[in-house]
Amino acid sequence: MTALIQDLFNGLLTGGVYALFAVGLTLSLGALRVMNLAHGATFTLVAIAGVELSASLHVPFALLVVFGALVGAVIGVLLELVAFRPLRAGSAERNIEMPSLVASLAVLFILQTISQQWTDANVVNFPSSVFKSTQVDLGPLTTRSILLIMFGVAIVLMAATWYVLMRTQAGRAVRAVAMDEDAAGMVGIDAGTVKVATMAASSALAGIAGTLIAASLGAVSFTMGDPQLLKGFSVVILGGIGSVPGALVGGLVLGLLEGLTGHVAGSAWQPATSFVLLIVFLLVRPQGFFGRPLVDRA
Amino acid sequence: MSLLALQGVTLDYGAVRAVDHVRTEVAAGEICALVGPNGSGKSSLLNTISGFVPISDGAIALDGVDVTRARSYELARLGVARTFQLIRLLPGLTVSENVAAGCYAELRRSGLGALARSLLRPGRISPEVAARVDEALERAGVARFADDLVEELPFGTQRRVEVARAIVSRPRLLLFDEPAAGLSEHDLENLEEVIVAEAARGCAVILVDHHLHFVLKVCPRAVVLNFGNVIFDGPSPAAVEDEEVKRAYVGS
Amino acid sequence: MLGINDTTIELWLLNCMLAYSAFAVLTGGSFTLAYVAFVAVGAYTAGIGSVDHGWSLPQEMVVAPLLAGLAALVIARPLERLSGVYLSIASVGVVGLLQVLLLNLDGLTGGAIGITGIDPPIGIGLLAACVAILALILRQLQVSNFGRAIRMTRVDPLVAGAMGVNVGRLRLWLFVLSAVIGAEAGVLRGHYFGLVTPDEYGFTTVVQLLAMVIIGGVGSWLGPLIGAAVFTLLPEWLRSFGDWREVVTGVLLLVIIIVSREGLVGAARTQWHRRRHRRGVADDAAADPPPATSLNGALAGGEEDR
Repeated sequence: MTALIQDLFNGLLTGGVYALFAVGLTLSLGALRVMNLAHGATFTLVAIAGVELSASLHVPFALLVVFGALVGAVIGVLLELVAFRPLRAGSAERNIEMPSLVASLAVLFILQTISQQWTDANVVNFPSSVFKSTQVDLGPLTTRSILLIMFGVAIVLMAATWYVLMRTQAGRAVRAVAMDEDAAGMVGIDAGTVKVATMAASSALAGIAGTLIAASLGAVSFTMGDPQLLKGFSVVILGGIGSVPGALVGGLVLGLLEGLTGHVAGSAWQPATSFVLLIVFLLVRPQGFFGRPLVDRA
Repeated sequence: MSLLALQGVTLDYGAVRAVDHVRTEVAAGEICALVGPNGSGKSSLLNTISGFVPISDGAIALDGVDVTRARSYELARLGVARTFQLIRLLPGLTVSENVAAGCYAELRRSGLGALARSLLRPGRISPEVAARVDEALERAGVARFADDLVEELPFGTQRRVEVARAIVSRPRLLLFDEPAAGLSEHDLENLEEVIVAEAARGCAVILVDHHLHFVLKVCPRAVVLNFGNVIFDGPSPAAVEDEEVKRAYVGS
Repeated sequence: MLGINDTTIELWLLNCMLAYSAFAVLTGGSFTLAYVAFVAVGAYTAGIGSVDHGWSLPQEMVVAPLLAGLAALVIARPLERLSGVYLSIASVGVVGLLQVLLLNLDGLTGGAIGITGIDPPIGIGLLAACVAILALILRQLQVSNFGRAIRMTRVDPLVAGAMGVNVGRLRLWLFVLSAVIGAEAGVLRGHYFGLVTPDEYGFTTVVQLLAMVIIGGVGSWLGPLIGAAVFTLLPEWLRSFGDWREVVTGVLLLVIIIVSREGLVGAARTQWHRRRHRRGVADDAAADPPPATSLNGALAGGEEDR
């Protein structure tokens, strides 16, 4: 019984990072209506950059996370300016959901090659000098401190994102642009800047998620982004496109169910969980837990 | 018998009723204006008639055949043609190719036999179709642009190409959705010629537009909507004088 | 020459087959990305069929597409209700799920190691014949009325409907076609390499084939041939770039999707048109005569001065 609870608990903690990764994705898909296939590659590249940096410079962990956010943000800005904005310019109806899939794919190729070359296609270890993970006992359960920190940071960031989106002027601007770009323009909101900022935030979150995962796994490889991306989309669907609380709930649910699957069927079957959940939800409740809050007027 | 019969046609978008129990008939060869202030439901009604939006209640019949549940492609195959508010031509193709698209419904044959035949002897456009396309281009006044890519043409010319595409199939029912917006005198004259010629051929024409002056000039009959209801249905000159119509437009 | 030898050509032909599978759905304007799952069906039919049951190549080439076609008809129903983003994600989900199944049902599929010893091997002759036949069929389809319907559906499904195209039915048939082509490609692939492993039938392959078709041009039967060439031959030509060739692919893909949604073939076609019908500013002025009396207007509008 304890083994089950331990598995579920581990799953929950992992779910926190799934959620963090998915928040960025749900933002870009929900607010900007772009499919960002490069989200996983961003996650990976930032993780690798962090590892390489800390290997040579001994940067404190907190600073590493900030660095991850900054690099991520830069990639986000580039994505918007180089890939998505030119696409919108060329489209009469400004609906670039499908072409953005291709454009972000192009960026994925570029980012992934950089990741591959930087690590010489090897698995690179996270230097333990940066962060010493200790074992933590919570009653009958055990875990590592890094996992708790990871979970904590993820929750805090998601709460912060939700707060910014729902309770601040900036967030209101993002929601206005998401709902009706022209109307937003008429009340003086600069849609172009809002979009750049949203992409920057989205990719920054991917960057932070990457740094945290790198620290928790202890190693990075240039292919770690792909499975993460697919899970990310599953979580986005589960939670509802554009819903931050949805990403949180979806991520935790996925994590828990993965833990359960691992316990019952073995870890080899865990990857199937996200796909099964995805397909079930798309058949039964495509709007996910919380619908499409940024777009639906209801 | 009327060509198009609408009976209690109602369209709801959630809590909003866009079209409210509209009842009317249009005969073959008739040119009918469908007008009303903004939000009166005229575009919505057009979209239901052309099968783009399913209605919430009521019935629509085309030449006696019930087409209430018919979708856009089925109506196209039954001889309904339309233009769109925002020009929808296929970029990357020439004017000829765009107009030829209007012949698709007639040319298509379904089934494996047709597939096999088309694989063995694929159709370049047959002479008859080519002649029809040329004729449509002529009548819309765009014959000289036949081999030009549509995206490179000025707005008025693109509108004409859309008209050519609508008439090439010799439809039974022609629906125009705000065709006059942004057109020059010259283009409007051509449009009027085409409409009159189609009606003379026996086609029923329904024209939705804001351009009251143009619409009432070309259409002998007017149906006026307000908040989804028919508030006037009769000769166009009388529509301008009607009290309720005046109130509807002034009040909006 | 340019490092192209028999093997490169064979790989190109194989990639053409795979690309055609993706092309079949993408040309209808639908981003259903499940084609790799059907390739996997074909490949594993070849593997399980020839190694466990001693099937011959012709047998596999009949059974695999039948299986794939049936599977396509089954999953088409639930997928039908989805569109856009949801459809893409769902279809990738199908590929992912299948891959996990291939990895774990190792009694049947050999797990991560896969199935080896697929016989007989095939050479350039069979590959070339298959690609040629397929290209010919697709070319004929493209210039027929079906082709017109497909083109309209891809560029503007709303207009296609208004012209009488049953968009849903058309996309269904393209989906089944994609499955059938994919399965054949899978069988050929299995026999060419002599083995099948699950890692070849996942997300990476999905996006590679997608890039191939988009670069070549999603509107023409020539597109996959060109796209596959870019992917297979580019590495040879870009020897100096070494492993950075994927960056070149990325840049190329980005430029193409921004500039010409219809890929290299589309761009070429547009250029050809522009060159043939170059009209200067003076001509444009004559095209829209100034407003005049209706008689003059009628004369000017009906004139043909080609």
